[in-house]
Amino acid sequence: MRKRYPLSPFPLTSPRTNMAKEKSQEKSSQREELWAKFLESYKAKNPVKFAQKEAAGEFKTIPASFRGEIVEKFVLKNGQRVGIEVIS
Amino acid sequence: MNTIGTGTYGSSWRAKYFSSNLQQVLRKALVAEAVCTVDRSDSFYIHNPYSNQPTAAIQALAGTYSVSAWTVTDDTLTVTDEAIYGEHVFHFERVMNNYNLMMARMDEMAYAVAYGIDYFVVNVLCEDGTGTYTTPVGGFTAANTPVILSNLLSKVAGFSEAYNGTFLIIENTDLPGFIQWQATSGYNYADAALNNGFVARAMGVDVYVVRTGTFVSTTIGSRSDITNSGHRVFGVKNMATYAAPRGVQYEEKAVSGKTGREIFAVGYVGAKVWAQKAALIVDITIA
Repeated sequence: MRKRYPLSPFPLTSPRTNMAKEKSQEKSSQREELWAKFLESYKAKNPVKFAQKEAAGEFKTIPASFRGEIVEKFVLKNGQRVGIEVIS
Repeated sequence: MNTIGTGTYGSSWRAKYFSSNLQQVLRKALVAEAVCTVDRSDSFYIHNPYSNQPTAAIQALAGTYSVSAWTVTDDTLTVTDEAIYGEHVFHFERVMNNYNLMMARMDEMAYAVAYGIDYFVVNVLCEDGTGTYTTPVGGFTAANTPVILSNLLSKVAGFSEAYNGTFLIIENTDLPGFIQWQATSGYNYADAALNNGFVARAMGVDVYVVRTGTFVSTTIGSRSDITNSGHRVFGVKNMATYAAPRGVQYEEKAVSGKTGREIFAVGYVGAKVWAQKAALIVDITIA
């Protein structure tokens, strides 16, 4: 007869594992949000190519190369800084 | 005899080495240099060099003509981005290495900055080219490659600009099919491919290979509209302009509280596919 082991007193997933899971979910939802914003700005800047690529199903998954960062740039006028703009 | 500086001989020699090395890397290693017109002036704005295309009248001999209005497009290339990298080499690192660490790091930095420029320009070309082409399913396989090349050539044939020569930029992961096709095509060509490996010219197209991960969908510098993942680019050479004011610059400095030197290299960059010629740059979608 097989020996039966008592149930582990510890939960199957440790609080640390849960925290890591939550963190990664949070990260992926943030990435999805940034991807949506990126596509929105792309649609405004290049509507023709956006329509072509969307029809080809290119935007269904987030490409691995998408960095998903919030990027700021200087607004330049004649090579001089006149402000800062968030671009993605 | 040449006089090289008066105080710190070592750094003066390094400055000379680094500056010349950077320019060599920039001119020889960059795909952007080979496929674009390069503007090395210190301009922040570069104006569109193209005006509208005139059409000549064909008529029975009369000796008269009408004067047409011609137009320019108000459009500029703005130098908005920089490829930049910096690091610190401590004195003990330099002293206790059994190879020339400074030179090795300088070489690496030169290539890093050059790659940054290429990464930006290649993606701008692919994104802003208005020609489009979708490959047969499978992309650059041995069977598809001649089909793709012939279709791409037909897109730009017939324009006088095509005499500038054409280019195709692919990633290294596209090479196996390409090489297999080359090694099995014709006689001399296949022999050349079998002897030497990849032949960088196929059907009159100059083929440039960049590393996988160069064509991306993400924000690059000031461009937040790059969606080139799964794309490649083909086109007529010298139709786009790439600006590199003063090439790549370098600075070496002693930093308070640290031994050794801090070095950075920077290259300013701007790229533009001009509206009149945008159709001669073809955005390839890999199916």
